[in-house]
Amino acid sequence: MNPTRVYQLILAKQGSKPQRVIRDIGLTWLIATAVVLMLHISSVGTFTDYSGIFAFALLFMAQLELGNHTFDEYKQAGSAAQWLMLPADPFEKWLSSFLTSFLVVLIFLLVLSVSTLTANLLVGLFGWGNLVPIFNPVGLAALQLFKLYVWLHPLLFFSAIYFKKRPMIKIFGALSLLLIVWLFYTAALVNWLLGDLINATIANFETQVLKGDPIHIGKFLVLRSTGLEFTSSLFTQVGSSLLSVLYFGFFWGLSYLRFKELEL
Amino acid sequence: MIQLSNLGFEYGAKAAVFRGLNLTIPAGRSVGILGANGVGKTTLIKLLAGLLSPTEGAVAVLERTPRRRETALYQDLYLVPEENALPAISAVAYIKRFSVFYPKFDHRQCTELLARLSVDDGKKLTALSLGQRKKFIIAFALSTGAQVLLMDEPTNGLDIPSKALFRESVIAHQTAEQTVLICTHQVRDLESIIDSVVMMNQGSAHWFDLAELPNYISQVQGPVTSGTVLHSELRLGSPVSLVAGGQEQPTEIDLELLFNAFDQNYPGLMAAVAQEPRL
Repeated sequence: MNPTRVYQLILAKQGSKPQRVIRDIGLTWLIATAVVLMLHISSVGTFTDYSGIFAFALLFMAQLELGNHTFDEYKQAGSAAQWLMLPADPFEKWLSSFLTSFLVVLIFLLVLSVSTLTANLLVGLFGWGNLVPIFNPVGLAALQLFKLYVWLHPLLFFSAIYFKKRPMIKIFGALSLLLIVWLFYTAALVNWLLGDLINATIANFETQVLKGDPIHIGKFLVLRSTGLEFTSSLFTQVGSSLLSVLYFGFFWGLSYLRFKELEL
Repeated sequence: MIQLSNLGFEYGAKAAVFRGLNLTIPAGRSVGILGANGVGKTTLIKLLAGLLSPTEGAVAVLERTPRRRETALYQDLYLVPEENALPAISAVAYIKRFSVFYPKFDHRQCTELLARLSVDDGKKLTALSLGQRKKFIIAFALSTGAQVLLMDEPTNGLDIPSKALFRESVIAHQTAEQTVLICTHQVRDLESIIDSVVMMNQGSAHWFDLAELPNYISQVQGPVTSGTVLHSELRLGSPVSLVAGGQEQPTEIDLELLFNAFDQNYPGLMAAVAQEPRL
């Protein structure tokens, strides 16, 4: 892998659509400023927590930029031939798209900061109540937004290369279907394997669980009035880490494999 | 340079484009790829460019497998597609952004070619006409210094003076080691620039060296008195034929006539070119 070539690919991609980049930044700035102002005015200057609306804006931006534009040069036959044949390793091309998709969120966080700054300026200028809290692009709220984006990233990044149109709807639709099928399958499997145990648990539910006594299901599970828990914290930690690695590795890995398989 | 070994490609299980193509094209040649609609000329170009995987057999370009999409191969292999979606930036900006990927890119030659082909390099590429865009991408392709240039219908969208300029540019800038493969329906556009031709029909492809061909077959104007007629057609009321065997004075071979012979009498033509040449 040649880092200079990855950088050149990022420049070539961004340089190919300078208007769109500027337009999207401008549009995000305008919309975010307008939303902040509207919330501020409608709450008579008492609204201070923008995290919810910014998270929603991030979702919207992620679907627009990450879902629709990450691999758009490979979706039209005319430009796809040019990009696929550009002298760079397939991994370098994939990595350039991957890195660009993370640059997007950093720019977005900066734009949010500028938006709250602009809103603040307008509030002060027109005397619309208390000043708006300025969004810190390197603060805790920004970190939370970044974490949300990182969790969304594998899914949307994969869907951007896998689906040609409306990737976000398709990937979440496909996942919902998979989840429903998996739930039915698991329920049937659990009923088949642990049917008797569960029936006994249900029979004891009122007498035991509601009183606060836990019921042990097998070696690793325990049912409390607060919910179902793993008996070993190590098991929980390892399990969640393993799931995270699988989730990120699976979708990022799959996106690379799909990219490598692209043909015209 | 370019080698197809038992190459086959099909879209889905029952839609075979071609099967069992065997072909060797040496380096430094200007090759026209001719074939009727649907025989797979563009598919062959895509296979050579690594944009498709063969369903059987193998393709080798510069002794590499194109489908692996290696950096080293693409620095020496450039495709001018029939339709290109160029970005909404100026030619100058495009050259600045994309020439960096080609180590042998000749900026001076590119500027000269753009001026010669009358392409406005300050205008956005999307604002240029189809012919202008085509001329731009041809100038860029010739300047990359790639050893193999693939061109899919490069003269489509070019006006008559531009076609002449295109031919001149290819002749002037093609180096001795460079191979140019041009896929087209418009045989007449190529006659002055190609020295060999790949002809394709349903299921076969053959490379003909146009300089060698008159040693094997001849073109006869008027009634044929001797030799095996491979193909004959009327042109302005007079018969023109291709006959097996060379003549003392080698004749020019009309590409259209050759193509029709290939298309309609493939076994006869192949038998004629397999004979001992007249030297």
